[in-house]
Amino acid sequence: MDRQFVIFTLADESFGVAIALVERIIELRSVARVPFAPDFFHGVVNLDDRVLPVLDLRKRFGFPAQPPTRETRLLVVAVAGVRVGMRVDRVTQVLTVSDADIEPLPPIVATVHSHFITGIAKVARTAPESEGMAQAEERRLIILLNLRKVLSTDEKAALQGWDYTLADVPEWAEDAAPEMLTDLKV
Amino acid sequence: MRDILKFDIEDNEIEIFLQDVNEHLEAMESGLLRLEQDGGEPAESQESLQTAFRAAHTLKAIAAAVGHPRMAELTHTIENTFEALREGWLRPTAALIDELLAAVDTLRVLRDEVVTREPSGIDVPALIHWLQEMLSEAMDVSTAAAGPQLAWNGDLSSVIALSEEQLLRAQAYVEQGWHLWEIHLAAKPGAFAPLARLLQASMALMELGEIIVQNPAQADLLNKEETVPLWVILATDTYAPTVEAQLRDITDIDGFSVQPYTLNVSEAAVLSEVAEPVSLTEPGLPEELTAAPPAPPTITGLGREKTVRIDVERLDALMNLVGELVTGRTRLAQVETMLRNQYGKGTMTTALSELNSDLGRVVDQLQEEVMQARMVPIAQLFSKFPRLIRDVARTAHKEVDFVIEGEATELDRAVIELIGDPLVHLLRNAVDHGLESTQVRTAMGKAARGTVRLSAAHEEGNVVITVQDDGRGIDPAHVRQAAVQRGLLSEDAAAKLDAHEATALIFEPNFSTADHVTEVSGRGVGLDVVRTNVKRLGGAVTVDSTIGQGSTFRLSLPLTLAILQTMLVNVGAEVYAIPLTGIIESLYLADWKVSRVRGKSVIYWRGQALPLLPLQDFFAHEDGAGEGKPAVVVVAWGKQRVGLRVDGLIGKEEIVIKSMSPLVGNVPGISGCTILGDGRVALIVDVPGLIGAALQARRQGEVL
Repeated sequence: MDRQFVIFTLADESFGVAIALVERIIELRSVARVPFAPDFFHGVVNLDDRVLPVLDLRKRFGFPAQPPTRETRLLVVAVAGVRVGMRVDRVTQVLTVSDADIEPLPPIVATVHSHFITGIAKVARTAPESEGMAQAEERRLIILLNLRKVLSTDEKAALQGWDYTLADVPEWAEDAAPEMLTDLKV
Repeated sequence: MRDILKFDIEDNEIEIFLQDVNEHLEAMESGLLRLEQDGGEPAESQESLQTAFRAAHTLKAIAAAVGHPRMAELTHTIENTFEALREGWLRPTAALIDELLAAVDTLRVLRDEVVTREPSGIDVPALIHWLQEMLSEAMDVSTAAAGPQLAWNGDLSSVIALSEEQLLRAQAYVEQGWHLWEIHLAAKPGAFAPLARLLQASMALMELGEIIVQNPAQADLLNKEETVPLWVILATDTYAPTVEAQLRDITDIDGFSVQPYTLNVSEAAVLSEVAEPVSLTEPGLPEELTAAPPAPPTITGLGREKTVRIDVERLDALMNLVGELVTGRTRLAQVETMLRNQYGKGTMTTALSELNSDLGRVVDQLQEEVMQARMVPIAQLFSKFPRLIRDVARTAHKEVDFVIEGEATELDRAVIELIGDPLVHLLRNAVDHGLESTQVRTAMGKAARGTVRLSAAHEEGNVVITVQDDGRGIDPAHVRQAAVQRGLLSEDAAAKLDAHEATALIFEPNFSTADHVTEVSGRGVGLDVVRTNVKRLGGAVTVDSTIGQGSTFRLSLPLTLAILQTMLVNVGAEVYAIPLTGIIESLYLADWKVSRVRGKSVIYWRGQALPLLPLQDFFAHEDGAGEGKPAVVVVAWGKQRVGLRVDGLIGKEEIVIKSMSPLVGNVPGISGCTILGDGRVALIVDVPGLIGAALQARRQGEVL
């Protein structure tokens, strides 16, 4: 079976989230920071007169911070009824991946906590997209994210000193978080 | 399989049915409670009973209309009991009130049947039977006590049929809940002026209501020479024993009978459809006679409805739209300013300004109107509490005087909905834990009956609700001790708190779980829930307490939830909105001399040292100073005053409160957020929370 993913980059690594979870992709806009929030909580922005919380995925994954560029985007995702914006370096494409090309666990994961990951997609490199990346590989790896894990947090370090309730997000019902999150179990 | 009940009501009517029924049930209940309270004062009891009676009467009609005969019958019996109470055959004993309250509760269950369509299994006939037994016993006793019955031995048949006009009048009275009595009466043969006695009787009956018809007619009584029996159909709101008592007072009466008179309803109903409404005042009677009888209830028949029921959701939607409009207007004003700055004054920009201010006026008015439409008197909520207090008091074996003040205070219905639970908590606490037992009170030389006072009032753009008891008060020492035991504070930290701060610990979460608190302070069941709920509304709660004299809980709430008057300030690169209700004054820092007291910044303001709280440090925003002239916003909560040091004042703005995402939890010092005219998001400062957090930080030697 084929699945579609929105592909984005963080610190030159490619990540994918199921397209069904992505509501919109918007440009970075004026952010109101929320005091006492964990480092990775970027702040809140105005999206169509509603207040959208935004996570900085670089910080979430422990990449070094980077000032916004013209390509910085907010990926507005909705998981189990909660809308969140995720700040990413760049959104590159929408990619169709066959199940056969998805491997459950990465042999080597350099940067991202393995529990954020549902699988690794190995896809053929597309020519126009390859600039700035090593030409040596024939296929590239895309890390498929488990948004449920990314959005919830049990990391005490992040929570210290604040009654921060990402964990209070309504039960992440498995059925409400579609294909990618559930189907990929090995 | 359970039976499914059928009612004559459409699904979309159920909401209105419930509202109506609840209204009447509450009226009955509050009537009963007031009756119990002022049992000794006949005049006041009469009024309470009248209210309860009318509610029961209307409820009966509603129940009959939806095809709920058991509910209608039970209501009818309760109505009769109210009558008996009003006429004084029954005494409002606590036991009787208990029974009647239970009967009202049963009506609630029957009401729910209409929604669930499932039989509740309540034995209504048994309950009705029980009430009727009690009623007839009471009537017998009262009749026996009243003196010997003058029996009527004559013919009981009706003398003449009612005319069309008389039927209509009689029917109108019946619809208002009055009774029709058929009275036969004869003077003693050989009495002096027997016809005068009959006339006297007829006048006596008029005092009770209206005579629909009598035979012989009043004018004929004056002219007739031979004695004939008098026959009267009387419409009155009293019961037979009262009528009888009235007749018994007349001398030289041989005998009388008072029987219920049944209208031929179908005939009357048909007539009423063709006939014009009839005036209920007897024409042609001398002034003093028309003035004497109690005014019959006015019949509204053709009166035009001036009010419309509107779905709350629709009202909310309207309010949201107005909110958007307010934001839009602000945005438009900014565009206007930008255009003017860019292109200078010209015909176009002037036209835009005029348009803008016209639009602004309309939007202001619209907002005002919609807000008004959402305002309801707090009596809607308060009326539920006498019953609560009574029940808690009876369970706790305490005597309580419950005083309600300021019922007419109006506030947004959304606020009313959300403060119900916190108030229930506080009132229950006040009776259960706040008040001492009667013995203890007497021993202390206090009045045996405790007083719980619930009041509402407008205060500086807020609604302040207080729950006050004259009980034992909260002992700060006990609270400190409990807090330490619960691990909320170290012993040192607890010792540093002054009495007021220590008492405020009862609002801390975890403070109040389990029996711990009841045992230690006798307080605190769910007080953190109270605080959380009130804070969610943008309000705050404080407590003042004196040992041995009682406690006062003070809830301060915004008039409305949707729109807030605020002062916008720059803090670093951020914009914060501070609710105007929390602000006392704004000062430019440059005009003031900042001193250091024990290492903390203060200014001397209005004769006191005002601690300064730099918001940028407090909220830990790293960026350098924001735009504007550094200023101090003096905010207050209760007795606490703190100067919030900000980088600049932007100005006053009306903001629409937006809900934060559920992802964002409870942020200290922040109550919510809003979207500004320029599209940016600003956080709203929670003044009480901020002061609380700052004081806590000061104790830990951090910020101030």
